[in-house]
Amino acid sequence: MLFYIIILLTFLPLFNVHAGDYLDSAHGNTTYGVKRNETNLQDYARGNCAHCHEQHASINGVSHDPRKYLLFGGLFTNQSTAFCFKCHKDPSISKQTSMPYQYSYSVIHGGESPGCPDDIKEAFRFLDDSANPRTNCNSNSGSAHFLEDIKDFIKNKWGWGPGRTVNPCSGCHNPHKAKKDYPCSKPTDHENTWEVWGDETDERMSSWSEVYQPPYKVPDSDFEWQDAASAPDYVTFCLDCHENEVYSTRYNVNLDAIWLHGRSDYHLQDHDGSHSQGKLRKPYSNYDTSTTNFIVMCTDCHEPHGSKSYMLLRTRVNGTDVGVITNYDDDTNIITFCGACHKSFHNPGGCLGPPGVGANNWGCHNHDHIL
Amino acid sequence: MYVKKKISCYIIILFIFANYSYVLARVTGVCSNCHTMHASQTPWPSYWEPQSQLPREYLLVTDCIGCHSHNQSSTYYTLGECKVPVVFYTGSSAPTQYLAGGNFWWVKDGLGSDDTKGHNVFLNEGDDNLSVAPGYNISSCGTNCCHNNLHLPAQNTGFSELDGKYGCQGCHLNPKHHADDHENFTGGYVNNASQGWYRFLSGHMSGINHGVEGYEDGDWQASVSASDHNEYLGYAGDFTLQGGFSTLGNTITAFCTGCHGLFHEQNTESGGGSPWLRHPSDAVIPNAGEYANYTIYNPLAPVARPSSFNFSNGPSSEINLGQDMVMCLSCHRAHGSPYSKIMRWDYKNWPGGGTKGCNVCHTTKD
Repeated sequence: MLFYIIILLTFLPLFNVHAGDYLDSAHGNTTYGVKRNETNLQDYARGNCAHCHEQHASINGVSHDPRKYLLFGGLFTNQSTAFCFKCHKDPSISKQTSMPYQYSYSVIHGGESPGCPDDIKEAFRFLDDSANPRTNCNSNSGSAHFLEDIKDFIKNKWGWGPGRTVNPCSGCHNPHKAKKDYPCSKPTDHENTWEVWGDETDERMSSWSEVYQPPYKVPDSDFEWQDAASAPDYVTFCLDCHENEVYSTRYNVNLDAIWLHGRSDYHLQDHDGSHSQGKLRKPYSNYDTSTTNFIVMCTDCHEPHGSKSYMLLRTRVNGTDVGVITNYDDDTNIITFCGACHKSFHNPGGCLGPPGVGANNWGCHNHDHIL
Repeated sequence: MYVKKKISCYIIILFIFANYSYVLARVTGVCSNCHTMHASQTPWPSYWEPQSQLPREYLLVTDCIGCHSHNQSSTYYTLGECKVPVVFYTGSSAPTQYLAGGNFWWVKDGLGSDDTKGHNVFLNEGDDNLSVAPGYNISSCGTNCCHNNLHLPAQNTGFSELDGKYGCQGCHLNPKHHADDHENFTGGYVNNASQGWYRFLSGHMSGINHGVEGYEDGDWQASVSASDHNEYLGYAGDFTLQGGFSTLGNTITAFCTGCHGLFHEQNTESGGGSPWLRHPSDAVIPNAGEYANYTIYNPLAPVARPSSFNFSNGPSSEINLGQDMVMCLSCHRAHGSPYSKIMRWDYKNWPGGGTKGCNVCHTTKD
């Protein structure tokens, strides 16, 4: 018996199929990974490199102009034309076989009813190619990350890629490692191993000393992260860029740095009952708010790609549909937005300040003492 | 009297050829293994071509395939004192073993019958999918020139020595089985015309006086390991050009670009570097990132060596990152393979099935 146990222990590792980072990623998944809707690729396995990369810009004798990184299309041109959008677009015209709808964070995590935008490309199209607002999803006050700004920022800040070889989507996502539940990778990790962020316990909101309480997805029922310990630390992730001033073509101004360490940012740290933020709604009120230090996550309030609202603000917060905020002085909708978590607060009209202006003490993020 | 003269003649001939057998030559053994003086033997040897197809050039008893095929062995067989490499296994089932270049079994009509799995060298058996070689880059060269296809005799090429050639001779332009290189079934470094170039691979026109240099494994990689394999010369030339011997030197990649030259246009920068436009060939494997884990030679994905490599010492089991290069043969075989695009592994069915051969170099892409 001992002999057989020894044999088993010796050879057991050989039977464990090692799935590396790519096979663990969304693109490499053998069930729902990449599979380009292309005649010459029909018999290529799902997840195969060829669905994005053509080694010789030629398959079965059908050739095309070679593209950077061996991609079958151009890497990035503008807000509406990027390689990733060849698949991450409306399912009816996506290059990806059986591409699902790609709803916003408010839908996927926030419990909002599915609707427009229903794909990634559409989410970015609240801005035109020159960063001007455009009507999209019946909103002319929407907002989005301007991809050209992201490209310039990561190039100038961290020296990404020579020339126009930077894919701004890569500023947040490693295409070879991004996972369904943890799709992001820190841009500052790009020259290192560029790992997925949030899939390890020390990369979660639970690693903060403050309490992270996921907002409601469905009031009194489900949470945006049902297991709070699984929520990725999007604070650290977003601040990878936003702890710096970031130029905005949309507003022609450097967006304020978001403070965290050593500062009293109302939504990021030291958010305890001593501040006059008013009483909190559930689920936060389930805690003793006079003694509990909360920390909130950026995506609790903001969409990562684009939103019908101003400043990437979500349209459903803490299980409450909050409408479309058109501007920083849209008091009615701002009250609804903030009221999704706060029962009452002073000076609601000053809840949001115009971008780049740091004098408003009631700004969502403490913009005092700007660099 | 006549009998005495005949015996004397045979003795003289025997003496002459006996001495030749001690000369270092690719082939050994009696001449009649491969040559027939008058094509009039009785009985007719079974392993020769039918008498109606003889005589042949150089008094040969059969053509390339005739010698380099076998219905039982898919690696090599013994012919007299000579070991003969098998590049075309004629058995009914796919071979499980094959030499470095692979085996034409998979492309042969009636056997593997898959044009994606080999070069189409058999007469009149053209590619069902392709009209020209992938990456074809020659503007004009007569009718059915070898740059265009390999299954029909070339005509009006403008080079008399090439007209009529096809198949094996489309690539192995000038076979020199009696070349003075190294003993049969023994490895050796080949780097010039008098030795016949590496595996008889040489050029013409701008490639005249050029050929492939490399270390020829003695048993053609019938047995293969990290320390037992061919070695190929590489040269990191201008990655914006289509290649050829004149720009890439006597490398196997230069040879491949004779037909697949477009695929050598890999970069917008002559020196290469990320981002590449096409998969690099004869590009130095960086000693950084995911490539840094490829340190032991893997015969599944061979590398090319720089000119500073000591080819005369034979194969090395080490990968010298920052010097060794990825090349065409890192991913493809030359003759035929079980896999589409003559790949060295089942690329198409990975992941889920297949083999993650790309992972040999791209160590984190798994």
